[in-house]
Amino acid sequence: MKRNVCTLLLVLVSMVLADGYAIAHHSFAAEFDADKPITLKGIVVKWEMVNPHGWITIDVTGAEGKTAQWMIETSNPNGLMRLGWTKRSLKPGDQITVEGYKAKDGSNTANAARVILADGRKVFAGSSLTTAPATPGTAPQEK
Amino acid sequence: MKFVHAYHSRVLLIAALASSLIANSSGPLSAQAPPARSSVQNASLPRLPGGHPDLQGLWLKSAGGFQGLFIGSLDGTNFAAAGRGRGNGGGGGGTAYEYTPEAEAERLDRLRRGYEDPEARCHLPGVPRALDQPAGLYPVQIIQDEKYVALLHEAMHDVRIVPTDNSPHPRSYWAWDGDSRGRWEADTLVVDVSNFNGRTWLDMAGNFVDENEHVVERFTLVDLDTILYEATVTDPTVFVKPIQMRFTLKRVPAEQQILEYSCLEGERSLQHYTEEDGGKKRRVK
Amino acid sequence: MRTGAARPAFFSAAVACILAVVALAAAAQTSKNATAFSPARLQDGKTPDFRGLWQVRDTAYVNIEGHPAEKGIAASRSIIVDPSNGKIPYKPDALAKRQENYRTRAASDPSLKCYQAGVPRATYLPAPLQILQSPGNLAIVYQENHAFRVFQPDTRPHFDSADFWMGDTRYRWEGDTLISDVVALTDELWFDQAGNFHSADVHIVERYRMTGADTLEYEARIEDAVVYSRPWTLRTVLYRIKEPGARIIEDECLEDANGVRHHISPDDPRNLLKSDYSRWKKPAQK
Repeated sequence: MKRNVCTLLLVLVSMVLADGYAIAHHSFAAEFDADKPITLKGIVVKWEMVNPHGWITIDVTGAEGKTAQWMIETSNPNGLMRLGWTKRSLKPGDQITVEGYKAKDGSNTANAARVILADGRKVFAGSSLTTAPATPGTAPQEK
Repeated sequence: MKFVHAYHSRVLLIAALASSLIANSSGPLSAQAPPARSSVQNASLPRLPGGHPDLQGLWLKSAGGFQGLFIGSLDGTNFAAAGRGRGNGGGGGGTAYEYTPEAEAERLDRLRRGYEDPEARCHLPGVPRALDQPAGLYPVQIIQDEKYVALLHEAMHDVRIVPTDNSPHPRSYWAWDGDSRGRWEADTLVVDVSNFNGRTWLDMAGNFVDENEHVVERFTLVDLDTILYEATVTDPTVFVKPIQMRFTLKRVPAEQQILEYSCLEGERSLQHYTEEDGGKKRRVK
Repeated sequence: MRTGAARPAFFSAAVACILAVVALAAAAQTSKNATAFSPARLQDGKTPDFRGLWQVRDTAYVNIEGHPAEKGIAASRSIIVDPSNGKIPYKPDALAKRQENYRTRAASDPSLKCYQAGVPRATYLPAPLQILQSPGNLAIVYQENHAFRVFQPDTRPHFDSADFWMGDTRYRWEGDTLISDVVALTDELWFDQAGNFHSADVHIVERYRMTGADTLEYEARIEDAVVYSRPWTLRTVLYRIKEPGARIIEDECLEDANGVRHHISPDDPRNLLKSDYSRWKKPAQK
């Protein structure tokens, strides 16, 4: 019973974390503009699971064929790791779509609210997580 | 594991009671009262040899505290910014921060300078901020023996090794986490923390303390999976009356482990802060 | 007559001498085996008690391959015991990178930015570490940059979802020797101030063994097929800090005006930031 309560707790935490909230250490509002949502489709260059925030580097090719590099800030990697994500979860060459919010300073930086993989799976998505957090090394189940 | 604890604790309890009876009958009373009476009431708690409750394990703040309310939201609102100080000590009671007039002005100024929050730049969070992290995020590992209680925090890889040997606070010593000295009052670990260096903030909303901060913490093992944490924070040059904080730490399932949080080595967010929050960049509309 | 009497006496004296030497050697051999140090035990009566404050006395932290005296720091021989030439067996490309690290070390040593020292570097820093133990619990706290490692029992697999600065450690006891297995170390770490390095695939096996009440022998076997042509081993000794009241003290780094971090001790008055709210004071009413 106690273990189930703790597991439920971790699920609740994961749902909050998974929405890409910048929790603790840095304020979302200081860095990102909630009035500037953005969707970026690109190819993963690097996936760095560092603290306090992870960073996905992606190459985004615009309509005119010009490629720009973007830095995508994720929520805290320790929380992501406890959900089953690893440094191998995103590999250079993976195509992903990022839904997030642009940085206030005008740089090619965005905060990820949602990442959609090439096969359509949503990751870092909040309420779509249907099961308890996975044990380390396995990916979480998602709708 | 629970049954082993219970068995051992009964054996140790009887041994502790017996030895304390013998000690008291043959010599002067020791400086620390043996936990005789309350240990009879709480015979189900796991205990170390010596009779004190065993606080060891991996623990996670489940709710409450003051930072428990603070989650940066996608629409930019900051719960902590509403009104003066904070109204809710969280899950079980607490009091608002009540600042002196000058300190309140300082707090409002810091609210606009989130860039300067020392925790955002990976400094030690201080006390009680290291434990009062947003709920459910970063656990703390407790390792304990007869001489100390060590708190190893995942957040900022903060460490407090609290001696329980009746030693005094040092002089000419100023630290981010202050200096901690622990003692047992019946089944509660009481930790006195002073010698702060005046550099820590209490949260991201500009709430802060200065070098006159003094904290008395109380850790009580309520049951096998729960520690009740209470802290009284006084700072006469900042607050007009002491702040009471209270929340629970719940035991983390055994298959989880503490992870490394290496802040300084990976911090890259501050460079994007704009002048609105004390940062270096101009805001691009 | 004298010669005739002396020869048998000399001969028997020589035999007695040889027998004595052999007996002494045998006794020495036996005593060496019989008196391998047995450390004190934790309250469970069996786990070796390694608790306390420990610190090395050598200066291998400058360069584990050895270095001359410089800048007031004493010289050190190599602490690499295998291979016997005391040198890290780098592959040619890796050696070139180490040389480049060495050349730029005054700016590129990660420790300069107050980053955690990693494994094994944190063990032989010129700063104390504290071993925390209780039955079923084991952790080491390193004073420098308040780093710590919780040693997890080796009954569960490594947690290697990311690269860490202090790695992921699984341990077991073999007799009175603590053996720990370390992976998940970031390739940004150095072994010393001289630019010796490894890749993120490095695998380290540590051995901790008390050789006396106040001495702790530390050995680390380093394996990394990306960087080295074969595994290699370093060994050093930690000495118990016995001054009464000795403790791990807080070690933080403060930024200077240029944002560069410098270590500052809690007993340095510059650590203290005195409050000053005078700018908020309202002018006195006349």
